[in-house]
Amino acid sequence: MKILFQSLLLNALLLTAAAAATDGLQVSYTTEQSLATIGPDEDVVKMTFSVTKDGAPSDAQLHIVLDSPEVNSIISTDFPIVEGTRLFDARGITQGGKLEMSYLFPIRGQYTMRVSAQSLTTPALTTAETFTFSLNENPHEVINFYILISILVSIGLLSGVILAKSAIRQSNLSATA
Amino acid sequence: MNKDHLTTQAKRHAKLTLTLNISALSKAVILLAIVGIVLYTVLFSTYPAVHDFFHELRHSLMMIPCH
Ligand SMILES: [Zn+2]
Repeated sequence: MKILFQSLLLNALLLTAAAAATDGLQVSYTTEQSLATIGPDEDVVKMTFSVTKDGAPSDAQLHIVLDSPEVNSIISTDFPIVEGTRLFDARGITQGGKLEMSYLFPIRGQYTMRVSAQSLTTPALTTAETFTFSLNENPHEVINFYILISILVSIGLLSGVILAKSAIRQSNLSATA
Repeated sequence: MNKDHLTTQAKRHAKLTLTLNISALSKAVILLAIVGIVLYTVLFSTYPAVHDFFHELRHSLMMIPCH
């Protein structure tokens, strides 16, 4: 039921997006793999930026600025120095209305990507879009994290048992002595 | 001669260990210190020789900050 609702919502969003995409200069992007399933610092993502003018593919100069997820003061990622920094600031010209780039996202979290476009045929025509997307943590790392936690817990339990046993023996000895 | 010396040493150590009387509290403190030092060294130390060896391990643990 929840999934049905979500897909309806998604369809509605896509329909409104499609309706809006026919006017003026529009810029959008697609990724080869779904961003929800890629692992940061593992899978290289191929992104394709598309520009349309009045609904038809059109060439433009793109300015792409990518910012990494903000610093979370409670839980760090495995690569804290990259948190809250500008990862990418580049310009490029589309060919046939498309520009491709491959990128290896370093950490989990919400990225902000600002794409500005200036039409090559009508330089007065510009547009800018801010996209945000979230990457999940690499599943292998999540499993490793749980393994680490269980190792720590077992060491704690084991030492607790050993210490308690020796304390009991000690108190028995002093009681009999 | 040398072997006898070793045996004497070993016997002395065994005797010492058997008669050693450390309170449960001291044992707990010693254990915590050892565990703490080992965990800090493996997971957080920035000493280059240690960091370089454990770097990949740290990065594969989801939330251990590395470099
Ligand atoms: Zn490192």
